[in-house]
Amino acid sequence: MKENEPVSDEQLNALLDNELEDAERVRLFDAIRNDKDLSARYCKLRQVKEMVSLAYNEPPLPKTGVPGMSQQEVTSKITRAAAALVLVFMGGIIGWSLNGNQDANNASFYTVDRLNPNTIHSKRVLLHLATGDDSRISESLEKIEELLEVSAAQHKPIEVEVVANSEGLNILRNGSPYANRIRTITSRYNNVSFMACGIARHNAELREGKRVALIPEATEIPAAVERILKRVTGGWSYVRG
Amino acid sequence: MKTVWNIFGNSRMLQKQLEQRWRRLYRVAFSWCHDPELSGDLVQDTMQKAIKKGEQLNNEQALDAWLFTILTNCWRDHCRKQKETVEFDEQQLIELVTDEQDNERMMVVNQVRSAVAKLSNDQREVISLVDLEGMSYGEVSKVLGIPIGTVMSRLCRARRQLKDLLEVAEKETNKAAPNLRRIK
Repeated sequence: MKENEPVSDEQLNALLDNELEDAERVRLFDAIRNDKDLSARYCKLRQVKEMVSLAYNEPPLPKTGVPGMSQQEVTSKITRAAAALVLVFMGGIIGWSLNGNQDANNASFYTVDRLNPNTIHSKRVLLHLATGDDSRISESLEKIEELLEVSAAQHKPIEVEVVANSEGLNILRNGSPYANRIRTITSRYNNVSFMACGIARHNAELREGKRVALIPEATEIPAAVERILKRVTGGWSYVRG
Repeated sequence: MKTVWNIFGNSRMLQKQLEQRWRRLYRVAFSWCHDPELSGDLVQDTMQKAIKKGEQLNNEQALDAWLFTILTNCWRDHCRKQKETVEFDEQQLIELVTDEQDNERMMVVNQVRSAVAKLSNDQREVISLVDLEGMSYGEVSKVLGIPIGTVMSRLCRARRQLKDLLEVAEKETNKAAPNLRRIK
């Protein structure tokens, strides 16, 4: 690509699909960083790619059966995956709208206001934070802290992952007003992890034209979508913060 | 020359390798035809042909690309037998999705699958191998037997068309259900 030459969709796709040499990749990322329209085009293509991948993550299976899997396993897998996909789409990760109240198909899916730390039976809980709403974030952190406290008091083993993306990424950025609180939680409990979506971070960097640093307690994961799908299909409870 | 039989020792080992790849082959087949029974048949044919033509494979690393090439040929044979492009029946997909989860929670997945189904067969073949299988353009070029430039242009047109279709679908959803709210 020559300097100042318009960037084609073919080039953006090649960048997205990791088909470019290092020098070309760096040059294109620079161009995207300095051009809002180009950045928007790139993000849109990325959304399309993610949506296609997610829509076929768990396709309906033939009635004739699947080698090595019982019909019960198949049904359970499909049900979980379907619920997970919808929750992911609803989470604002991709920005497509759907209906408003995400009580999924069974008790493994909660909105944070319906989560009761005293009655939840799950031993593995994923809290998804995709919001910038302070009251919602505070309530989510309070509930998670309470859940950890109740489990510790009752000697119940529990594992909690807090996955932040979209506007929720801000709680894990350096200078976040929640940094102290998160530090307190992680120093008190070793069975909770805070994870930042790599895609959301990358998008924020493109938007702001600067590196986005995370608080030390946060771990970066490649994509929130991927993590949520993996956990929910693996039997974790999903809590929408 | 080393053949698939040398590589996998016997047909049972090859069978195992094939079963491990069943889900991946099925997912791509389903994204091409959107019919679970046909997808299952295509994968079954692929496996049978792979076992029959075992002597063609002489490198274990090439197993995946080889299987997807056979799957592509099975799919194209099927389309040819239909004597015309296989038309996608949107109603069939909606019913299918309703079977999976009997309410509107599958709406978005349905929208994406419907949009993919509206692409041409050529575009769908490329986008599935890139986005579902994570193949490089070079691998897709070999599997589909087309130049890399063609892979790139088909992919580009496919994503552009999907973007437009999904934007329209989103607007229609919002128009049809004004009481639904977007979650932040």
